[in-house]
Amino acid sequence: MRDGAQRPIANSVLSVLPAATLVVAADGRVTYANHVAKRRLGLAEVDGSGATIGEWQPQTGALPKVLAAIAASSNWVPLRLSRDGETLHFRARGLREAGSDVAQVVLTEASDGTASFDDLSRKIRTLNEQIAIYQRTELRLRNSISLSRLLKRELVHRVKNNLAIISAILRSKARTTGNHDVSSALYDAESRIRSIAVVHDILDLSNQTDRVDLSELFDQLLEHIRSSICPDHLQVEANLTAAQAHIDIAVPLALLVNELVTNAIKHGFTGRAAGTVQVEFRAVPDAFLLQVSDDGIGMKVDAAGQVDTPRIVAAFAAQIGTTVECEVQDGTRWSAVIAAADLVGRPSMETLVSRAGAQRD
Amino acid sequence: MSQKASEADLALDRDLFMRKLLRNLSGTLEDVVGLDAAEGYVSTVGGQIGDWIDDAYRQALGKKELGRKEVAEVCVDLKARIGGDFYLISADEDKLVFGNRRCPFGEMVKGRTSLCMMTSNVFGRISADNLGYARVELEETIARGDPGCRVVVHLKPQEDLQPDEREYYRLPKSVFDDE
Repeated sequence: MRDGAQRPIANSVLSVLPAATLVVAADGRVTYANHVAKRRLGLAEVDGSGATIGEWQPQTGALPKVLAAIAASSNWVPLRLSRDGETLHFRARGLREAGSDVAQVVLTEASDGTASFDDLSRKIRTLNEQIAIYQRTELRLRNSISLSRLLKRELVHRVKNNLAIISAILRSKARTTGNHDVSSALYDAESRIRSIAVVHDILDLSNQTDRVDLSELFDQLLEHIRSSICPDHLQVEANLTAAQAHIDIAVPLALLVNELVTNAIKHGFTGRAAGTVQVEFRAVPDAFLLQVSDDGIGMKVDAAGQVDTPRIVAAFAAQIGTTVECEVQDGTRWSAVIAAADLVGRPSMETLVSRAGAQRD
Repeated sequence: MSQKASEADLALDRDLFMRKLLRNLSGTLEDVVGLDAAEGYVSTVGGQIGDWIDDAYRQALGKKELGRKEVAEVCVDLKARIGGDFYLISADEDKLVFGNRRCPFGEMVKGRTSLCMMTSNVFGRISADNLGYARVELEETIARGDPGCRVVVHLKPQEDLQPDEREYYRLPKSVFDDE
């Protein structure tokens, strides 16, 4: 720009540069700015308007002193200017027209390693801060999950105790009431509550909150039945395969087995001197087969040869997502097939709603 | 027989430690931000150091401003005080020409050309602040692999700058006062 004839060309070249380029006096007044610089620094029209970069401040020191130091040599030095949280990176150097003592500074926005390094450093700092936040959040969530598990186990323990108390109260009332029908109804209720209590006993002992081993569940359930209602002339035998089940399945399954075995003991051997109730739970392809059979007198069948399935038995089977079938030949055999997927996974809300609907129908 | 660490024969002292530190620091700077930007950082520091040294000599010599001959003597002397071996080759009203046989940074300067901006800025700042203008040309440098340095301080402005030249103008006093 020293040669007047070259000034228009120099202006044209500077105006089309993709980097913000401007010339300022040592006090911050803008004497030239290309289009990009005007936009990036938010400058009004420069010519004659007294535009200044005074609102932009360097990282250290006052802007006039920093500009004066830069104006004192032709070295390109890094300069960072900030305003309202926005930071621009420049390279700046002194500029003097021939024969002039007027100190000016030319600034061009940096696209070199200075800006990239600073930008990357800032991003890394932000990422590190976010990682720290995520780690703290993860710790809080883990603590929350641990507390939740603890509370759930405590809940299981209290439910188990409460069920045991209710069961004991019902059994006591059943013994002392003088009415046979009332006593029988109370024993039935106690037996069902005891079936649920067994599930919670196993959960409590194994420090679990939602899964039980079915062979252990059936073992304990049948042991209780043997010791409570099974007369000496009858045998209760079992052939069980180990399988884990969610309590949403285990509870109705325990109730179903309790109902079928109890019914067999109560009604299946009238007039017989001896008999056996057999409970079998074994794996079949993609499912498990539950069978409760006895060698007693056999259930009554209607004219079509069908057995009238007790409503409560059908209801428990529906909760598991299956149905029961009854075969009467040399005694009675109840069978139910339970899908393996239903045992291991908690039923979805859709499945539960569907089953509830089927039960109502 | 094991030897005590304090008796071990190794060339480690504060001076070597500082030179090694500067070598690694400037090397890291050149690698991370690039040579041009690294030179910019070293120039910023060099300008401040030059201003500080100029003030120190003026006070010690009891002079408000130094003449051309004194500027040349100061440049040679300051380098000698920090371990360099600069000498004046010629001096006239247009330029001061210096030679150098040993860099204050020693062997550690080889390959670290950004450190040469210390010499350019210190010589340039002292010359410009006392004589009004300086254009420092680094014709030969140990850092680039030359056997010695040849530094020319031009005292008269000219139209176009060569790639290895840097211009310095008289700095208004107090710019670096609080630094």
